[in-house]
Amino acid sequence: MKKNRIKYFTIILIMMFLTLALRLAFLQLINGDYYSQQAEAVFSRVYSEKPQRGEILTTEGIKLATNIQSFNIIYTDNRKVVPEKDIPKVLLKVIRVLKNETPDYEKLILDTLPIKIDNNKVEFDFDVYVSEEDLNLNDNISQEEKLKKIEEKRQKILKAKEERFKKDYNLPLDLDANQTLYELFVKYKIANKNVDRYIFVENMSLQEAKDVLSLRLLIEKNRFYKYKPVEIAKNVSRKTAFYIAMKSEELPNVSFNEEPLRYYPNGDFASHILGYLSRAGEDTAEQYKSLGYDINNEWIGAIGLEAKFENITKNEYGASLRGEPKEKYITVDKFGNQLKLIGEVEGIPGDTIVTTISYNLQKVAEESLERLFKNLQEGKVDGTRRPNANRGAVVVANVKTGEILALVSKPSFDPNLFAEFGTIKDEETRLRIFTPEKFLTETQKYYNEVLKLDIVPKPLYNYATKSLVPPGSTFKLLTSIAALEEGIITPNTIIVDKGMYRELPGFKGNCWIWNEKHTTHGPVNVAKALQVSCNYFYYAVAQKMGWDKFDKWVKKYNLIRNGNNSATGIEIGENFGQASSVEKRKALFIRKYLKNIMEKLKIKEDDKLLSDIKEMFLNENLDDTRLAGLSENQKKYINSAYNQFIAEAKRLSDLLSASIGQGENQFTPLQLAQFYMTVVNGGNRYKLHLVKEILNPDGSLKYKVEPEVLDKVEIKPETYNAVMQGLQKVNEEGSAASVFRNYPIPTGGKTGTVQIFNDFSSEIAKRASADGVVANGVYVGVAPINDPQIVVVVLVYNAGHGYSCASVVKDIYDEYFGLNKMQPNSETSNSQISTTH
Amino acid sequence: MIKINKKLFRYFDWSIFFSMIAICILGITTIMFANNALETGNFRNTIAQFIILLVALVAFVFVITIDYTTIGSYYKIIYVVTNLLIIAVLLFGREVNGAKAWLGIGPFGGQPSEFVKLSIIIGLSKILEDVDEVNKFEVLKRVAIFVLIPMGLIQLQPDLGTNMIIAVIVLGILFVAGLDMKFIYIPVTILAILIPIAWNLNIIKTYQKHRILVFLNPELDRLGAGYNASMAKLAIASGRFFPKSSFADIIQGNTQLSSGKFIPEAHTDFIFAVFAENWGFLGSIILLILYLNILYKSIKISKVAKDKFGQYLVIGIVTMIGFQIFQNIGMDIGLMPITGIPLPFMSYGGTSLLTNVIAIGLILNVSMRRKKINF
Repeated sequence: MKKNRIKYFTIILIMMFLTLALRLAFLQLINGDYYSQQAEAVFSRVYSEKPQRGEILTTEGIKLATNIQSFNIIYTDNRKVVPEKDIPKVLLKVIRVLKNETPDYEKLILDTLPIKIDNNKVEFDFDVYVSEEDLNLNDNISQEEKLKKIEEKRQKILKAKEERFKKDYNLPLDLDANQTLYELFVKYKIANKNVDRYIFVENMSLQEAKDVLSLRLLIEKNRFYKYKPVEIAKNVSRKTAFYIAMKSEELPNVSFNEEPLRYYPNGDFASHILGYLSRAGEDTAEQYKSLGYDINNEWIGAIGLEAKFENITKNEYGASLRGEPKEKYITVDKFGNQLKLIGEVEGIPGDTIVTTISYNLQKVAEESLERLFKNLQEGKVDGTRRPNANRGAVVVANVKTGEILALVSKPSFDPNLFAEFGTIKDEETRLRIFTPEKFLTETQKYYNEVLKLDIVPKPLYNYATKSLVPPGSTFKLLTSIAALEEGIITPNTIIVDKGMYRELPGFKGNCWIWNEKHTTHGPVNVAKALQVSCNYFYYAVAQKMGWDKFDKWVKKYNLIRNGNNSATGIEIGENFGQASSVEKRKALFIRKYLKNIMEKLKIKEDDKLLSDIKEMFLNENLDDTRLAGLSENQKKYINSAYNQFIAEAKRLSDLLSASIGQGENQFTPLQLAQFYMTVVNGGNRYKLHLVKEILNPDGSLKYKVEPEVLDKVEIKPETYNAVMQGLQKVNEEGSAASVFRNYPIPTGGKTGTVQIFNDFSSEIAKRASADGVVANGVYVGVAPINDPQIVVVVLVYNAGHGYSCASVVKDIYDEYFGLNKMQPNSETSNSQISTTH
Repeated sequence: MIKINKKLFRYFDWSIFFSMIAICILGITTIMFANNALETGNFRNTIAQFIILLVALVAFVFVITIDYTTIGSYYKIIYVVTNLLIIAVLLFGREVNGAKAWLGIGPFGGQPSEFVKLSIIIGLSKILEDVDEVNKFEVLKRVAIFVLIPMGLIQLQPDLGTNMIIAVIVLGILFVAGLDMKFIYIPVTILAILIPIAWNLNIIKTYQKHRILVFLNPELDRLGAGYNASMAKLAIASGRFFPKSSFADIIQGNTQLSSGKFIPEAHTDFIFAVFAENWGFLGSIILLILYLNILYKSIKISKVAKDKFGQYLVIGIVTMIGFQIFQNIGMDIGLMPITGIPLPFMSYGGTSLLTNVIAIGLILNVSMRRKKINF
């Protein structure tokens, strides 16, 4: 043994202690300030109270969305007062009070537990609503594929939700709903497990136990934020609130608070413009949390203006309906219990949105459209019952500013249903709104499920901005303009309608009048062609014009996507319907050809060659050198496929169908409105807008929306005059004359009747016709025609004829021009109309 | 009962004893604050620790009355019993924080791996007592077998922290016994190679890996595994020089960070953080001096021990307590990785306190019997 070793040992020991002392000195003395500040930050929390959400007003200042004061029952999770094992007992008492003493049971928040008990059968119960928009589906995919994809996605989400729920509560993933329920009962001390029996800790029914568990899970979710009270019942009556306050001895930790609640005084009025409030979805929860939302208590604008102006990150005006919450800065301990209040910041109410919507016009439009549905369904319009005339849209816009004066989509919904809970609590109502396809009649189900036709009236769907329907004859305006501007015809060019158009080999279209009455329109010029909606005229014009000139004009009017253009520029969600064009047709057909090539060449989808071929086909630039490595036969095949592809994309007969608004043309009512506005106002394509101005909480102006011209589409005065004359004649002598003849204000318009079946005479079409699955009706109106001020578009699904829609337009004119006092009984306007088309 | 010769107390080092008692009392008060006992009225841990201290003092008296050479002669029995206890833990033990280390019935029980440390110190000292030259293969082989059996069992729990201490203890004793430095350099080199391999072959558990990674940068993961480390550091740092809070604040549990409100396991592994926040730099240094007093005086005792067994025994214990202090405080202030090693005499935990008090009893035992005693 070496003597020195103990000396070294001692030195090592002392050095270790010196290291500790030095490090302590560094931390506590030198860096003490820095760390103390950090410490403050780490243990302070912000506790926010809901701000007063901004109001949404009509242009006259009538409140469409506002707030009312509401009472909520809250639970403050103070475990010193109520230890964990006693929480279920307190909750049971609350549930019984709300059930027996004060009838506010349905105000309890019981949807945290995604399990339902039906006739003693325990099942998982997740809400999943998948809409077409969520899937970002290609425009050109069949209805059948769409539904399949939606269902697949729905099942996937259901499974993921179930798994996530189990993971959240540390449950084995293989538990069924019943096992999950009882595991949770035991976990949260609502029941004890005794060998293989479960015994509730207090005498209660299974339903009560389930309710207790739902509330208990709410509290559990809040476990790291104990300083925040948990809302366990929303919008209870004043009586309940005071009853709870009185019983504070028996109900420790339970009290009430007052909070603003979103309120829509007019119910479902303008619901698609306003939107509704919803809980943050799982995919967006983190994002809203990072913006300071208390996502368990604060609902978020889901669609419409509520969504667009939710907060400043959502819109370009810097407007926020949400405002800023009142914030309390507190320090908390590691359990989340509040230690002390550091400071408070007052909240800021949300901004007020003043819309361009005119209350009266909107009201007239909504009422008139619903009246039309009723009259169509009862057969009061043309003697035939139209049982499926239950969906439609109205757009009224100022042609000189792009302001939307009314925007109606039916069926509608009452956004108040969502306000309390961020979702619809009543299951029946919820299903009716989220899954309307389940409530079809048997006949309707046949068309929806077997024929895969779009026949479901969807309350949350904005038919005005989203529904893509062929424009029918209303599109003849575009063909007229293109033909006149390209010099295919002059306003005086006469074409003689011969009924059946047989000038193009392979094309067998007839004028509608030939089909219905076996007669012809005789010689027509462009104005007359618009007036009588002569198909023959447009077939002849289109054949002469060709695809290139047609494409040029749909592009000019923004009826086909051009770069990153939006469709109409409106603030709320819209679809961009595409006109038929070579480009669109190529995208539509290419898949068929690529599939054949894949089979023929035996190559996979991700093969570079395939993407090369796709690019060459789409760019119309077939380069044999890029096909090196293929055999002569294969090259030959590709060449012939290419030629077929180009021929199909540019098939002239399809242009003839497109020229009368059939074929692949599909637009939203809003797009149609914008197109007509641009034509009749002399070529200014105004950005459509719903917002007039945004006001600060103190009432001062924050932002004023000025009319904005997106494009200018110049046309010759002769062209303008010719088409305006045509539109006017439609109302005076044409298909809408029964409604507008002798109307005190000169008006113009165009009807459109969009057939669902290409072949009228087929068995299916005949059966569908008998079942009321008939053509959609569209009408676009312009008034006054000599100095256009407004454009109105009305779309009614399965209406049978376009002219039916004109009655709604007339009601709107009456209101707009102040003529409704002269004609108090507007019922008459929907009655029998004899002239067709 | 064995009678204690009063003359024995001539060499009873009272400063070591009182330092130990002082630290124990500081520990109990700190546990009280860490549990926020004055506010919640939950004195369970505080009282338990106090009772264990009393029990430990009884054991302490028992230990000093028996000549340590007598205790040493039972080293084989002690060795076998402690190893059996670990096997029992592995078979019937309860898992706590990812390791099966707790053996007991109801509220009574303990962590036998704590006793293993003492058992190894006694056994190893005994083995080396009769060895003149430690750097012989035969000797080292014997030492290795003796040590690796319990270490292997402990690794099964798994309890890397305890094994780390045992390794340091063995190294400490061998070092003093004159181990050739090459036996220190070579294992260090081998370890440097083996650690990455162990890392990749999952011999180190995931939670241990995570702790090591977070040790390297606790701020990266403040609310995860690094939470404890970073909270502890914040708490200590905000202690400043003088205790930041007034005494009344501390009593009422009003100190910002500690008081058991932010740091989980504040009364066990992170007790120093609570202490340092409450008593500041001044208090921390006083605590370190108390510890150093025990250890420094003990080393002096080892020099005057009557035999080599006594000397190694003291050095082994000093290594054990010294390294635990360094590791535990070092972990709080970001010098060492996070392990579950308690702070001697301070941390809540019966077995640990009992073992350490008995260990001090053994040191004082050596001190008291430094000369041949004539009856």
